[in-house]
Amino acid sequence: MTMRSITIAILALVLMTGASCEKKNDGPSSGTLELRCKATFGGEDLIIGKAFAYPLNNSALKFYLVDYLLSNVRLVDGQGKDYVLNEVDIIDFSQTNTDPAKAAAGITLRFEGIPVGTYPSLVVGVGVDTVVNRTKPQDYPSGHPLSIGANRYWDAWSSFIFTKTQGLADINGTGVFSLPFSYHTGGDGLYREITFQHSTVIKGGQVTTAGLDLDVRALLQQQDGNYWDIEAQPNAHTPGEPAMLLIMDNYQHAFSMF
Amino acid sequence: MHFLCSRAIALSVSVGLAVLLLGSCERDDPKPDCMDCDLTGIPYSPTPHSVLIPADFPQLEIPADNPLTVEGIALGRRLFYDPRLSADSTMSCASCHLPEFGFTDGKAFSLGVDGLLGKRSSMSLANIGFAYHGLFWDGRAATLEDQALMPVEDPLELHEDWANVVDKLIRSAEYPTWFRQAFGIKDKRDITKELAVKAIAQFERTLISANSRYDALFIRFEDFPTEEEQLGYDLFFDFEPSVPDAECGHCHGSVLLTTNNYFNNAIDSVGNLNEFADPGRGKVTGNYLDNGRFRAPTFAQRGADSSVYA
Ligand code: HEC
Ligand code: HEC
Repeated sequence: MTMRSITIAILALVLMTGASCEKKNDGPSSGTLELRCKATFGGEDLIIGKAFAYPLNNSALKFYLVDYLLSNVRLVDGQGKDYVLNEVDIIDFSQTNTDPAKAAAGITLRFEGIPVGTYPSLVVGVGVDTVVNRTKPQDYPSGHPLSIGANRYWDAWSSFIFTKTQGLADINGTGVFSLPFSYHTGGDGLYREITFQHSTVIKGGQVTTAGLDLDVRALLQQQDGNYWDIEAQPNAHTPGEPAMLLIMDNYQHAFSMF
Repeated sequence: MHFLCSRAIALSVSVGLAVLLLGSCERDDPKPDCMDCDLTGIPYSPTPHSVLIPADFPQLEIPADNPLTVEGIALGRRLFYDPRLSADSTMSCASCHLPEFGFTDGKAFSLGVDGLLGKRSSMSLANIGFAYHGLFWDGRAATLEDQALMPVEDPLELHEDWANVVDKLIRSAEYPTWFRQAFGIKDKRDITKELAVKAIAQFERTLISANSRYDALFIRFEDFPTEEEQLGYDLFFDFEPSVPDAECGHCHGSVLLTTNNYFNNAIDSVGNLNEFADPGRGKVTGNYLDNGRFRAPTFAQRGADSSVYA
């Protein structure tokens, strides 16, 4: 290669990369939404491994794994038209929330290039819809939240695992956390979409922020107000189990926007 | 996926490229005092190789800087079986990764070249090209290329210097030609350990196993399982609600019989997470919650009674 052709090649490379950057940046007609996802327990930041009082029989819980698939996030404009922000992301607090500062900050998803406007509502999906649930982990590249390595597929029921809520329970207030509990949800029919009447204003070239809090305690509260008896049923891994339905239905009010 | 883009990165990549390109210009000058080192008389026209991947398998993800070629794979196979990679030229990779054992050795602990017992058991290389979440029981190597650098200098394995290995390869009758054909080197002395491990990794990516009885029964449904086989399958994956769940599928799941994640399968009995003699994954991540976790393997048996595509 001559010096000149090298220079041309480099120039071309810089221009190409530059050009593709231009597209990503928001111009005057589009903006960015940052969605901060947090996990709390009855109002306190949920810290992995920290004991939280559970309102049943003087018991307490420590969480080691709290995650969910967040899918089909979209803004709905005044005309009822959707602007889709994501296909699916995994919101996994088990690595971040070991650190109180990171737990307070939350996990931020960034969506760029959203058309400027006021969107009266925001919709989020928990789990994956039936169309996506017909796909298989091997259909996705490594690193994708649904890939084989993500380890969230039930071969037995042909479903992705939508949410995981796991930890250790002290069932009688003795301070000994000896009962492992583990609630995994999934299966067609358990995908939930939640609509927030939360107005989002997207301004040209600017970043708008919104927060989505998950109160993990509220996931375990039953309709009569009592809390799920973890000692009686510490596990759920099979579609149709009552704890699964409870948890998936509860996302509706365990979620709040801030 | 969300990307951040910056011109600064583009620029530094370009500058890096320029340095590289200029560097390679300088190396065009023939090296002095070696009459038979020039390899440019040997044709270099590598043949791209595409691996036959069974339906239902994930995509084989190959690093952009190490595409599979017929010549690269052939060189890798030779290196894999070549005892010259060990200190006294008695052992090769294949001494602990035997094809007839699904590319493991069937032993609890492997013996190294000095007769010393290793600290862990050898691992099957069946479908190793699909292991994207770190290699070894603890995941300390990121890629097959990185991994292949390690056994040569491991005192409990081949216990040799890479410099010596490279020297043996340069002085051998055939390797310079093979390296030329695989990677286009111009001079014998351009053989490096980096190229050697690229070739080994290419070979390893062809070790695809999907022809076992398990595959015929439960992936391709070509034959009927015996009652015991069906019961084992139901126990393993919990397919049949009336059969108790042995829970194996949680960790040995997917078409690969592993999701390549790290688990504590409670084989070591310890009082707390800091007591593991071998902390496994925890030593790599520095997170004590990972102590005692190891990568769930696929099953060597699957490789053992199956033909291996290449
Ligand atoms: C003395 C026996 C021995 C020799 C020789 C040996 N290995 Fe291994 N191999 C092992 C053991 C033991 C492990 C697991 C070690 C660990 O986890 O720390 C392993 C792990 C591996 C893995 C990781 C597999 C996985 O699933 O993560 C690969 C790949 C591998 N070896 C390739 C090679 C190559 C290539 C060579 C030759 C350059 C080689 N081995 C030589 C014993 C050996
Ligand atoms: C909690 C996750 C987990 C579960 C559940 C589990 N395994 Fe494993 N298995 C592992 C891990 C991790 C290893 C590797 C570490 C080790 O050997 O201790 C392993 C190793 C093995 C090995 C040795 C393979 C080799 O190449 O050395 C076999 C065989 C095995 N498991 C079979 C089973 C069977 C059968 C079941 C169900 C009864 C099962 N496992 C359940 C995680 C699990």
